[in-house]
Amino acid sequence: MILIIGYGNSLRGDDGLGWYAANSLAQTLASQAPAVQVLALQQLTPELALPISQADFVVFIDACWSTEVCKKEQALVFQAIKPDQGANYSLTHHLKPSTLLAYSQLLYDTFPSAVLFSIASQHFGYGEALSAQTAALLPALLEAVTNLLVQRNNENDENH
Amino acid sequence: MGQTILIDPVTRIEGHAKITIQLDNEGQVQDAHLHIAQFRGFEKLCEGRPFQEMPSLMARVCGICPVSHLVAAAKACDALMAVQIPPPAAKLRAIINLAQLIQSHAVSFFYLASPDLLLGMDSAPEKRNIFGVLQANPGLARDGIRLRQMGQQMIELLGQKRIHPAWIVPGGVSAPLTTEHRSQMLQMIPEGYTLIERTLSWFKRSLNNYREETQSFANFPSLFIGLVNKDGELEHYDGHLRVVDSMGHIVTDKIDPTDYQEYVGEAVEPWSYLKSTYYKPLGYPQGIYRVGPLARLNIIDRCGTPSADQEWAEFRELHRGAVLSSFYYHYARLIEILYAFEKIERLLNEPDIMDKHVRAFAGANNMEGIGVSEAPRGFLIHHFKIDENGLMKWANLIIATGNNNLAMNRGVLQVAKHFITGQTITEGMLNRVEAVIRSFDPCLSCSTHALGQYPLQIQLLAPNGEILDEVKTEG
Repeated sequence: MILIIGYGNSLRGDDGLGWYAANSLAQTLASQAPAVQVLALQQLTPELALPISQADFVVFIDACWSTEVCKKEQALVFQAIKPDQGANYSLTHHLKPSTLLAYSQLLYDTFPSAVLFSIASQHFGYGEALSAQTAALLPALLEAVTNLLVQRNNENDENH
Repeated sequence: MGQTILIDPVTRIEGHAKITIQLDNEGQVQDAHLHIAQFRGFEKLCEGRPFQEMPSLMARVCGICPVSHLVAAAKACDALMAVQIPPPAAKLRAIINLAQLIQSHAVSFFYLASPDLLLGMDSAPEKRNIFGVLQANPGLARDGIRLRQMGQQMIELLGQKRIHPAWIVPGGVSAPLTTEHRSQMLQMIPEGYTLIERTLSWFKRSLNNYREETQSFANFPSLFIGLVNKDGELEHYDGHLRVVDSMGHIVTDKIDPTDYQEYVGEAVEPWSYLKSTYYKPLGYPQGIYRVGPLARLNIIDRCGTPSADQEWAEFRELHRGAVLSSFYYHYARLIEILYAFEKIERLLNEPDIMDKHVRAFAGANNMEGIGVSEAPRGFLIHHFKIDENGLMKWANLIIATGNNNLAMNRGVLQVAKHFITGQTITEGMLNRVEAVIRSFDPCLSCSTHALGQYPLQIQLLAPNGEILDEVKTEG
């Protein structure tokens, strides 16, 4: 099962990127359920460790604003995620994908391959819309996610 | 002039707070205060808005217990409309309120308090976190994660959203329960029983490890206040207020929540944005009372569901009269989770629960309305006044955590006196002062806060301002 988790606050401009992207992907990938499951969330929470542990592959989608990767101002950021117990110790808020993978590893003795898609942005003020800059890049992000899923499907077919 | 210890911020609670501990010239704890340093202003910013918006707007007070605010605000709006909502709608509201109680209590017990309970108050701070819990007892952590997930799934099945569902509306709920969603919720119940009974069993076996904490964590006499139903049973949606003293005797009963202002006063202290509520007949601050899970189990005649009643009977054996130690808030939360599963199952099996008529419609018929609910942390009151156009003129919110403000402050002082001696601060002292606050599970308006993002700082200052000792931890 492939799990897509797009998260962010849709009331804070570009912070809602992951949420918008997940809602869009939920429609376009609806025919692939339950092999592909899409969650549109405001934030990452510890209980996501359970569905993550049951997935073969996880795609996280989040706005990007502070990491070194984003500071390079690449428009579309793609990075592999590994479990990291030192990522942070938050319990209910501000969890990172790497922390959730660590939860999965510790609780369920397994963790899936995972990637994070982001768009670098500086627009996180109040507002229920993406900035023009981020909105223009959203189709490319959706296409990249879709292409990655197709690529994984092809690889799986070849392996079988 | 003595010295001051500052704990800023208090960690693993829902919100921002700091603690100051005043020492006298002999280095003994003289006084202590819990400062709530954030300001929200919801009572003011709602003015001028249509009253129908209040449930959704007021739910933004909190991201952990928005359902309780939805319920209390919607009930205040029901009163403004002067409608009696359809009985199935009241049952559905009760179910979602209990589902929220499950997820909120699970957060408090498993995520916030379990590092203290499982790893010990004196354990190394770098280990006393969720990863320490996952490594020490992954089974307990898995149970906690699943319990919270079940509560959130039930909220989502009913309200379409896990946080801030817009399904609770003035006059009832916006959509009836579907067969599929009822079935999905009922399927979760047996697993819920298994998980919470296993956790209760573990906690009861562990109680001996916390003997000193049970005897020093805010175990002073106080009143207890909360809702009970007409049969004196546990109630989270409706009913009347009951006041019980530390001996377990009923002081006042059958208080109509709309008369709350006769019994509940609100005092303001210059050192905190959180009001201190008190039982008016005893005055301030003598009218100190506690609310929430511990209070609810102290005021009732029985829970009203079979398994919870068995646990409750055992719980009440802890102390003659009311159970006074606030450490037992943790225990009470677990019993309430068990009760919530039983009650939800019972309500889902009510013959009219699938009824399609779940909403009453009306305009404004009263200029004033009051709504009450039991939030996870205690009783919650929304009081609205509107003008002839249905626009909000005034609002007053009695928040559950505010009800416990006096008790939390006294608890901090008691623990500080018990554990802090001399001019050196140990990690164990610091953690116990914080842990007594955590036992109340205060929710200091969650939507603005970040957990674990700030350093923890305690300073021990000489009268001339010289720093005698300082403890810093990374968030």
